[in-house]
Amino acid sequence: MNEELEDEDEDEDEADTDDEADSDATGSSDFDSPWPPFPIVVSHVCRHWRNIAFSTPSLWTTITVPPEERPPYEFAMTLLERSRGLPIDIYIDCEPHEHDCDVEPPSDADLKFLLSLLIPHIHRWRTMELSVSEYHHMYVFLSAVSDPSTPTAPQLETLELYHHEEMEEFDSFGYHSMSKHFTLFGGSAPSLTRLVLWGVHVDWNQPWIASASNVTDLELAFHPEDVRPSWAQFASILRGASALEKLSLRLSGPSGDPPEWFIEPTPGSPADLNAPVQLPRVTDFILAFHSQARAIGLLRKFYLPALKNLVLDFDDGDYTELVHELAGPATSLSLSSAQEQSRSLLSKLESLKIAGLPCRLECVHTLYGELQNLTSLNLSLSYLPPNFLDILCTPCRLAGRGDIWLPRLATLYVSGTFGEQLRELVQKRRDAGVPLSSLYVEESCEVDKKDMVWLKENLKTFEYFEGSEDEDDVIDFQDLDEGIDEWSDMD
Amino acid sequence: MGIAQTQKVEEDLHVLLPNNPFVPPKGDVCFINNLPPELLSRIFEAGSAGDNEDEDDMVGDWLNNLRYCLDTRDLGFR
Repeated sequence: MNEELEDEDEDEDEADTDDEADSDATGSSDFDSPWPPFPIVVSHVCRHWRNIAFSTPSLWTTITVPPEERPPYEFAMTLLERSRGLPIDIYIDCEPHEHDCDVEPPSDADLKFLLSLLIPHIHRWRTMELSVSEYHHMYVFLSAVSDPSTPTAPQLETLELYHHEEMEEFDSFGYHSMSKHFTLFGGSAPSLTRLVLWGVHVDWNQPWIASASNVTDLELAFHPEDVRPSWAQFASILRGASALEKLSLRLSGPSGDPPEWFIEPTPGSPADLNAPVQLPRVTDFILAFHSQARAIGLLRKFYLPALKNLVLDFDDGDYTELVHELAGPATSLSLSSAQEQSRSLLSKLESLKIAGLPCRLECVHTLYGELQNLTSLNLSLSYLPPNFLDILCTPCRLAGRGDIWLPRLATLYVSGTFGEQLRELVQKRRDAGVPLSSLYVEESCEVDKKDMVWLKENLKTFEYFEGSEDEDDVIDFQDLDEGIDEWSDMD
Repeated sequence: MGIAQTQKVEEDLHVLLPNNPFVPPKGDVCFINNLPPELLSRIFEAGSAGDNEDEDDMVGDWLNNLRYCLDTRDLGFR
């Protein structure tokens, strides 16, 4: 190896660029990936390896721009060059991390400069992920990729646009001067498979979203009422996404209330535009932060025959009726069999996450009574009354449901509970002949050494997981005015 | 003194474990550099793909084992 170790004076320019990439100034905020990246490491070993690394374009296709990066964005330029003609994955983060108090977000001019480098390569974009905390940054991006001179994005597979900002009110979009609904990429991104619009709105009629036949994963989140798609636009998006497998609607979806979700029939057209929207391949559905009326309205509009995994997350209000809707016959087609027409959405589920569901006590029985096929349950007990867990230790007394709740349950994820409770649950389920095999506990749960050892010895898998940031915002159920008696004692 | 000891240990390791992958081979040229450039290029690609793997599982496993070891005072390798 020694003969390969030469000084790199001849490569000074490139070495300088790499050195810049190596510095904390450009990479320390990216905790998700190893640093320095593997291509940088191997290209610093010796000249031979360096030459081979530089002649391997696939090593240089990931362009990550952290919030502290500033023009002239040499590293990004170098990657654009080294990746040659290959598809590129771009991750731009304009949100300084909370612990980096000294880091300011880039200016609009900085971002425009960066985009002026990237947009000529738009035909190579495979992934574009942009995270901002201030909407003007997103507006700069949307404007830039909507310019009439901007080419289409034929290879774009993943588009993720995030606007993370604490907003008090979602009735109207707060930045009126930036409320324009843009048409991106000349309206064409035919390879799109994953689309996330988090607090970011676009022209809901443009082809890459209204006819997104390759999209398998669609996530719409946190859209104020006045920038959401109309019901007609929303229904078109879903009907056009024939390959859709995962759908997430967090405080987003069609504007208006369910009674307004009606499309005037077109004279002479045989299509029934008000029939349930068929989502035959959707296996995963996240429904969060809607009013009860809208959540029920959406369930009644969707035909979800393949649904296996459901996430429910609601904070304010009473969702008792929603639970009854989920437990009642699911939306079906007129051609569906009688058996299918009578089955509930819950009865087909294999996994369910309940992150928040304010409802009356009897709802737990209604809910769990339908979960005969559930194998995995995830409970955020910081936001749920304890009986959501306690009931799993008790006999089921519902007629025709057997004598145990969730008889197929094998995996439990739980937060906001204690080791002693978990131990009791594991013991009682085992005694009842329906043992849990895997238990994942949110890391802030109080599980002492003795309980942890016992759980490890009595389960196939016992592990901790990292909860979301808001797990610490525990609801004190004693403060709730309504339902306190119902939630106070399961026994 | 420390350097001399390290060299001695390495020499001993060569004798005891002639194929130990954690000790550089003797000679002037690393055998890896005798690989065809195309193969080395593919090795680099594989290594780079490792950068993108979700490390949460690795970190989670490590955290779980560490907590278990600390809590049970079992500080041996698991």
